[in-house]
Amino acid sequence: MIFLIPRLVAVNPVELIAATQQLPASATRQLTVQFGLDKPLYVQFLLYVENTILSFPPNLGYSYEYYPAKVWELISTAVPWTIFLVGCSVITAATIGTLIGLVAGWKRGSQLDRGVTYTALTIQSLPYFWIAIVLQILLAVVLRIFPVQGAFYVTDTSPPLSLTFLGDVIYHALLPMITLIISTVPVYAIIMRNTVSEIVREDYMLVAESKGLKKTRLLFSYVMRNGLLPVISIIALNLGYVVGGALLVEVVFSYPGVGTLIYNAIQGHDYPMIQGVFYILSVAVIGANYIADIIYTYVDPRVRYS
Amino acid sequence: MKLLALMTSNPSDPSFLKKLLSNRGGMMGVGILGFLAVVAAFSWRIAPYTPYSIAADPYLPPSLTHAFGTDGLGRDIFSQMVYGTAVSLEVGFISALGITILGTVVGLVAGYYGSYADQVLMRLVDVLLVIPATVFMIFVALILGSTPSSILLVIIAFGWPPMARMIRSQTLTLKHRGFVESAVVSGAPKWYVLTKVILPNVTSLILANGILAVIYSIIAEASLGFLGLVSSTNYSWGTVLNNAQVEGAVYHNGILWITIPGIAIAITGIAMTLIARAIGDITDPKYST
Repeated sequence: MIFLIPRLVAVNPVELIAATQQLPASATRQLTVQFGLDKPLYVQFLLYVENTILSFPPNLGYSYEYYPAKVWELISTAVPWTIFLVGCSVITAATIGTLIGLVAGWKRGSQLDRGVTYTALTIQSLPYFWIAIVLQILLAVVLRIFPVQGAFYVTDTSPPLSLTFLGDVIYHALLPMITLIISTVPVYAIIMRNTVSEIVREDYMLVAESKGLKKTRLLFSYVMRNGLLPVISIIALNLGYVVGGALLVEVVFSYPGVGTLIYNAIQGHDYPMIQGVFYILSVAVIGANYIADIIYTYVDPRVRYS
Repeated sequence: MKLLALMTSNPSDPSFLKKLLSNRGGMMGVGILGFLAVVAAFSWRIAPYTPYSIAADPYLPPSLTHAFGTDGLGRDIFSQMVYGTAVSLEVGFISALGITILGTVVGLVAGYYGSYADQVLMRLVDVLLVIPATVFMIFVALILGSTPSSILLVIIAFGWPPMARMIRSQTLTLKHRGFVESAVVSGAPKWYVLTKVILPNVTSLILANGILAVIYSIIAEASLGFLGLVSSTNYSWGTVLNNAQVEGAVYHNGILWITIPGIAIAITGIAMTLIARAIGDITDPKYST
């Protein structure tokens, strides 16, 4: 796995280039020259590599919509918001999901287990953005507990990093986060439940139980440790999916992250922007996967030696 | 292990449908799906208006004549939903079919032939699994345009990898089972072993995953529709949601307008999940709950 991921990074720009090839059909001849698309393919590819991978900050061109703003500048202001949103929700959701799955798997076949499984499966067949809309109506428009949209009050004049501003940011982020947490908890809960219900049947569990170990010890040092492995790999594998969902949730709440950026770019046919966002997100997700692989080797010694 | 045990029953057996219907969850799932199929098939009779015809004043609240109210142009939302059922189910089932075929072929080939074929195909699967599919879908949909066929293509392109991976791992375990090895030893050609010996034993796995692919496809289409990437002349549940969002339904008595498409998607999802689980239960009694 570890030697695999860097190769994935190498494949991505090629895909992007291939996608870029289709642009001139809709764009004008001048754009073709401006983008360097009249040059042979390999030159384009080398240029692309030079501009993106080999230079920092990557040169992703200019935004059509916010010209003369550079794509990289716009993305780099939006990315922290998305990372904040996705990071916090993934950690919270994985924790809650793991605990729910642990209990459900431990009491496999019980009323509780069945309830958890069916609720999880139902939530999984709901689109992220629909949950977002419903929560928005319920908690922000009808009950007025949370702000309807944005990441902070525009009227807030207190300087960034002050306490009021930070509180404001967290207050605004809660609703999108709750949405993401609700929609991703089932994924982790089901994985954990299935793993745990298989671990319970293992021989070493029988041995541990017959040794008369306490139930909490069994649960946390035997079941939990082994059950966490698939959850970690699922967190990594699902990251692309969660980021995709977060983008739609951001659109619903007009959160100033990458999702809203790409939505506006779609509305304005801002191709360099869309391409840039795609590039940055792919690199980020693949990077996160790489990190997860490294973490995995620390958690599971078996992987380290094979 | 669950996958391994899925091989015991053959879905092409005529009594299979009977078993499916005698399973409580399976019956409910088939019932819901049947209802939706009827709505879709007779949408032109059920819907009082066409999705595009201006029927009344804009932003009417739900009433007897307009069950879910009207949109910003005074079009009947109930009719849009009824017509949307046909479009959403169509997209769901056609894409699922594509996903199933592609996933099965790739999975079988990669699992059975191994070596280079396996390496190349599984790298491709890994790439497609890791990149943020939603973003890539947006990208591709923008380039290809929002015609129905390009939407189908995009959904299939990102839907098949999990399926291929599952079929591959199942094929790998089957490859070393006694009955497959004896077929190989008795001199059966490779394609024969693959299609006549291994394929029948992964049918229920293919079926269960194919059914789950339907709901994935419906959600994917709704997401693209919600972003306004699906052509608005073809009303699906996602298009209705997109309109609700764009026209500010929250502020115009539009609570039902927004919630109904999501509920429709959820009900379809539950039906599909129930059927898939029922298939799992029937083919694998050991794991039934």
